[in-house]
Amino acid sequence: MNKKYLLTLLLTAYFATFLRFYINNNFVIYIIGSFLYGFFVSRIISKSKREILLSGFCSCFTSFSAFIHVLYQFIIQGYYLKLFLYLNVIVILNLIIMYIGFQLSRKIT
Amino acid sequence: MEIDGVIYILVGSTFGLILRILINYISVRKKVFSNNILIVNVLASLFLGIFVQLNITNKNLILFFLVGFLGCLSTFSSFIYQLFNLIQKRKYLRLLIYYVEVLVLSFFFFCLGYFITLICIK
Repeated sequence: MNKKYLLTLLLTAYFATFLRFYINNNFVIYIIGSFLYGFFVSRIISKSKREILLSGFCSCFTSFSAFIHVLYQFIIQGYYLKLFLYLNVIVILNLIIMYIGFQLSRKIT
Repeated sequence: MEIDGVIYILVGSTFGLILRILINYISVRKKVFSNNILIVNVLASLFLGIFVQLNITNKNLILFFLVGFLGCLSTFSSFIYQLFNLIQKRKYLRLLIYYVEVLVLSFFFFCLGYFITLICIK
């Protein structure tokens, strides 16, 4: 692991964190993040670039803890049916979005 | 936003990123655990449980911990990619089991952090 690589990774992560902070809407963030992940993952690029884009940008952009926090808020308010629907809809929707990103990336190249 | 908040987010995200890379490195090189994304998400849920129970209202601390540290530590898109990968391999039963496993484990650890902190505060 060299210095330049680590610095790029950190800067990408900072950029992703601030972008997440300014959008401030979990639903939009998940959709954009999944799309980009699908888009990048199907491209054949070098391992370090892949690491920076996937592990640095996409992973810092989407956060699982926010997801669990939303579930916690639903449980506190007693919306159990809403919780179940929200959970499954988010995961299925993100899988579809990721598939679209994956295929789109293949079509372009 | 003030300059303080920016610095808090930067420091928090640095720690989160380094911890995630470290866990990734350990799981790849040392082969202690096979699934690093599950470990990271469960760990983040545990921290979130502790954080929620502490009921912190300080804005800078929220920026540091929730937005910076936990946001960079946990990853949702990699989790979706794991599910996507299982669909591509046509392992639908594994997919269902894994999905339920992740949710149950993270919620269990969230509750664990939540109640342990509750006991410690009293």
